Amino acid sequence: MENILQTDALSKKYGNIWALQKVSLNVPTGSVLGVLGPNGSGKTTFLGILLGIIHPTEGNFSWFNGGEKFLPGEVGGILEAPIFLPKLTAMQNLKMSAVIKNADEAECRRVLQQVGLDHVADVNAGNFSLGMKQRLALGSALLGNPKVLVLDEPLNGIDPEGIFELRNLIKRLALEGVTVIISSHILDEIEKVCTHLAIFKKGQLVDFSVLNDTEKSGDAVRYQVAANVSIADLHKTMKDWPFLIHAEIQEDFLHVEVQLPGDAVALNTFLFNKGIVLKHLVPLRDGVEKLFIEKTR
Amino acid sequence: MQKILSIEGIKLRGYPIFPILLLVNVFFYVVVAMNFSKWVTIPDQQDFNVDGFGLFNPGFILETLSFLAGIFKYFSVIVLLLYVALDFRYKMHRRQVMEGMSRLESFSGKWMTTAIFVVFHIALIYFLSVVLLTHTNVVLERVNREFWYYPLLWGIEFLVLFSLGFLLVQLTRKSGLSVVLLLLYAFIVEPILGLSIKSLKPFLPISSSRNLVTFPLQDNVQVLLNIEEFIGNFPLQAFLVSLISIAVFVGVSWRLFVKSDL
Repeated sequence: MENILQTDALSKKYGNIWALQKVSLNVPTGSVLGVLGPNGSGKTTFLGILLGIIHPTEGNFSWFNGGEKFLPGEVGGILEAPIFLPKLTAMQNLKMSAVIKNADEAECRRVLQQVGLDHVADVNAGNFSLGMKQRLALGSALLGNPKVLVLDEPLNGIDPEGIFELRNLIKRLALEGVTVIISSHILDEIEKVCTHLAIFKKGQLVDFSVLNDTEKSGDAVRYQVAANVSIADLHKTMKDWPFLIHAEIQEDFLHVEVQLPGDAVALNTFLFNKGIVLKHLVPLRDGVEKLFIEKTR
Repeated sequence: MQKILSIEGIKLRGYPIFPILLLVNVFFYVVVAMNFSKWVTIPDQQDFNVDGFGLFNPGFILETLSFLAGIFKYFSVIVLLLYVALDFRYKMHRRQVMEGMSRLESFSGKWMTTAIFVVFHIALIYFLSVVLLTHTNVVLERVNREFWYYPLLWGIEFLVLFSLGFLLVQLTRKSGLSVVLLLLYAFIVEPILGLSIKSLKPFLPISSSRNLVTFPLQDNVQVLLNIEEFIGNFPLQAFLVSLISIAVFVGVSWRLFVKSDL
């Protein structure tokens, strides 16, 4: 898959402190990259560099296989707190972005509707709650039909309904081919929308992984299974399978850890040949939370 | 350029205090010019002599109004600096660059507004001159054309002070602090420097810019006493020092803007 963003040893030093150290990663086109890390781990610095408002001390990056610059409308971004002129209405604030991105008023109305603020288009942004400002910031980022969205903590201050809408919006945009880079402390939301994960700790990229990836050679894969026989019998039968690493009964299911190439098809075939028909086969992956704790401790 | 001006236009609507201060500023110019002319013009000006004594004699009116504008430039500069600093307060540069504007476009937006502000004020000085001349039933042809450039020199004088203020805003990113520092420099630091090192004085930015539009009576007296025939001695050194000062202040501001994180 082609990469929409490549970073090479990106580093940023503030005084004597390295906020970011030699971060190299490639972001595939159309992916949804979750950027995780504890406070002060360098997430915002990283995203700020990508958006062109922070200069890297060392290293470089390129958008669209070109340079560090992007054209107006190509990349939409939210970084830290939403930025608006409080005395201007939501529509006027959007129009300012629209001028930069060569978008028209109809598009401003469309994005206001998309982020659920069409009913307050003529209200001053200064009167908005934090959640409404976040929605407006997202609307501003969506103007110009960007190829990439860079969203730093976009869920801050947003109510559960808004989070649900934002999650669906991100999923829909990803389906349309928009690449999304999103940082958040809400790990569950990251897990629900992201295809890739980058975990930062003390300015370093400590993990870059593909979520739902069971094809990596040499990796172990875990499944939750149930069949037309008792769990105890299933457990006993599974012990004969050469790819089995470990199996344990958990309530009504058997959790098995298998070595590739013993994948789901191989497992199903093996049990079928033993006269057992599977009625439940779900791949298990380590939750983002577990991964996050492991990598950042 | 049109795009940048459109954005600045929208932003101005978000700073309602700016047009109010601008109106107050213009009001100062108009009221002072109108009333000052009553105070100092000799009563029998109807039959005036171009070479006669009087600040608002047509021959000197452009110089006089430019000089008065020079006194009020501090207020004008503060009004404009407040507008510039608001972009830092509301992180407008950050937003504009994030949305794809280049830093040059974001930086030049403020200077385009400044240029319009200065041109507007220069036009105001010319306009007020015409109004005053019309008011005193004087034919325009009798205006001393050698003085045509004084409002333009006022523009340079204004830009020296403003560009220094702009640099201070870049450094501090705070409007109040920048204004205080600017006034401290203009009224305390530079005069002390000028007194301490006399040879340095002609090369100090604010002092030089003050020499661009001289006190009008100085010329009047020279003409009156026939000390010399006044033909508009162009203040070349002050002009050059002022231009260089503007270039340095803008250059350093640009450098800071490009190199710093937004």
